[in-house]
Amino acid sequence: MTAPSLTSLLIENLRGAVAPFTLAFEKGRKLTIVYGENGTGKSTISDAFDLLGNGNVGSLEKRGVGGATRSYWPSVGKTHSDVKVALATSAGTCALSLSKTGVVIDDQQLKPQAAILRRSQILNLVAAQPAERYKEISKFVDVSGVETSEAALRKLIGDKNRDYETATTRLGANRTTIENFWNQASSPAPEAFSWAKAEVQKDQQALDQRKTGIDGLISCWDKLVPHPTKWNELLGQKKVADEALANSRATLEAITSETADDYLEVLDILKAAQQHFSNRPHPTVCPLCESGEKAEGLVAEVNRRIESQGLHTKLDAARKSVSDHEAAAQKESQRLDDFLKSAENDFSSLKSCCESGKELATLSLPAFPAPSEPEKWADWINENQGKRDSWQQAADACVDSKKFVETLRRSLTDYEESDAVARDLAAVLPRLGEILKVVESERKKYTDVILADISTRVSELYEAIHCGEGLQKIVLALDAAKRGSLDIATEFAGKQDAPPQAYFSDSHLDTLGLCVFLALAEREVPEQKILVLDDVLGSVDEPHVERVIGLIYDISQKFQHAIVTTHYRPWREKFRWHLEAGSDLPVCRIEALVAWRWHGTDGLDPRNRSPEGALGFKRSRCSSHHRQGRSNSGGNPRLLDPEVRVRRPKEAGKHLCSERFAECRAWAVINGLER
Amino acid sequence: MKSLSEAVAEVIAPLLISGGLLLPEDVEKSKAKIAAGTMKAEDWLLAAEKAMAKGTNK
Repeated sequence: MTAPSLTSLLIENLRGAVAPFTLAFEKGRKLTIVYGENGTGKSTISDAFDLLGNGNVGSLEKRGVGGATRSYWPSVGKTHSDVKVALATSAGTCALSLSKTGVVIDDQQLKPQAAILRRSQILNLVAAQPAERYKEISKFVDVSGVETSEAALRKLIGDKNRDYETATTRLGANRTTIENFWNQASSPAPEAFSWAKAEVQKDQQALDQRKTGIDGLISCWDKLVPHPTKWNELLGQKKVADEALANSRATLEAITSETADDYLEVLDILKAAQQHFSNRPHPTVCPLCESGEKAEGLVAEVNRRIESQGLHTKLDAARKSVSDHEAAAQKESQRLDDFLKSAENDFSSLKSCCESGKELATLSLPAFPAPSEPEKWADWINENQGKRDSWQQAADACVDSKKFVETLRRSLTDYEESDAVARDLAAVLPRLGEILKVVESERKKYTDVILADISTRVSELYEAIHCGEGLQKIVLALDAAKRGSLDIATEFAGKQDAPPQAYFSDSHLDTLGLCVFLALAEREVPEQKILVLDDVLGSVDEPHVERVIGLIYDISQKFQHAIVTTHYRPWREKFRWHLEAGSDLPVCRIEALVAWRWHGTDGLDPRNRSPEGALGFKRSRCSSHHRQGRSNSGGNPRLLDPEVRVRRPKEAGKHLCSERFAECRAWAVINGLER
Repeated sequence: MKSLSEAVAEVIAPLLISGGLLLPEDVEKSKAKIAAGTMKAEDWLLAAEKAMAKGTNK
């Protein structure tokens, strides 16, 4: 697709253009050179292209005005809404305005692509830190998508390698555990793992049942153990109770024997009367004989007779004591009987437990029947107590066996799982490694080829400027150890991989930066891109200017259009004089070379316009043409008649060698103002 | 226009297939992910395991 040719650029209220300014482009010319002294507003033209193509005003960056340079885009005293930029091309006009927050392009289809290189940026391509330099080149080698996927793969391999190490470590540990168990089991044939598998498959229920049986046996036994002591204790308590009962009975007997028979007989009657009188304290008759003869004082007489011998209290106490001791003796007797029945049951339980089944078959058990006489229990228990200890050992052995089997099972399971994991990883890791190798090597190869292409092109361009200086071996290379880091090296005085920043002059570094920029710019559909070089070659000395001009001219033909701004007088002089000097430069057409002064109200002001007017000169290796040119001009382009100058290329073309004949156009910044 | 990552992925894809490292259908599905940087570790692992399961040999 052929890119449309530029017709004109209108700038209003942007940066230095305080008044509307139009730069017209001559049809068929691809190179426009804008000459102006410092402060004439050349960069405003670059800014306009930057804004159109990239939505930014790069000349304000890194000037210490802060990150948001947008405030300074309008001319002094103007607002964002006053700014207008319009690029007319053969395909139509692309107009730009500024909204409150952004850049508005009225027709995106016509939006130009612009590659801008400014004086302030040129060293970034060469002398910046590798990471900064990488940013300039990143879009040409940016395979970050693949790099991210590659990083995920690399991390996966790292993680899986660690998993593999863990699995093999566990494998070894579990193998050792199993072999230790096997050794403890006297290393039965055929080998440790077969034995371990057989062990863990054994019925664990039998162990549980045996343990339960032994626990039951121990429980029954432990119930018996205190019985002799308990029996003795209860027997003693019964004896005490019986003795106490006997004593109390003797006491009662003694009291009874000391007391008159009638007293005891009458006492009960008197106590009944006393009870009767407690409710009837003033009787009128005797309650027994119903005589009223001695009714008066009867209550007092009954009380006196009850108390008269002082025995009734003792008698009551003795009777109560006998009664209490009888109850106590009865209770103790009952406790003893209950205990004996309980003990009998316990012995029966133990016997049943011992005879219960095969779980206890291997144990040493007591001989039955157990003695029925309690006084023989202790001997019988003492004889068998040692067996109880062996039962406990057997129960503990059941627990140990179970723990051992569980540990063995865990070790075996863990071993088998670790083995499976290790096998899987051992199979997949080499494959993942191969995949990574392919991805990494192809990704590197791809970017290396691109960098090699760029390096070659930079070297070609650099050699075109510095031919014969032996500085053409420029190498750009990504630092493998650092992501997003670009190294630049050259061969200098026989020293390989020398950083040019360390050995090159500023001028050489400038031209190297230019070459890097051009090599990069021409990689991306240059025919649809406007190349803008904003005052980039101030430090180039005169011997190299001619080659730089030739280089820029040649390379500009690849682009949609190229615009070079310069304040550097030798450029102007070269364009002016080369026509007469017969230099091997491209044929250029200079409509006017004018020095401008920026003016606060008029903006890019045409005052002080230089008197050259339009110059035309050609690039040709045809010496006859140069000779003709010189004779026509009289050797001094200042004296050229404008009409002759304008016509010269057309006339001269008939005589020129056809190679590399072209025209370019150089403008002063404000020449072409159509105000 | 293809991005550089997409171009690299296009170069890598046939090598992964011809090397028997991944299954062709998985490579086709993964190509866009590789280029976009969204090919996660689990995606790589699954694709490699599938290729192993199918018996492709490197």
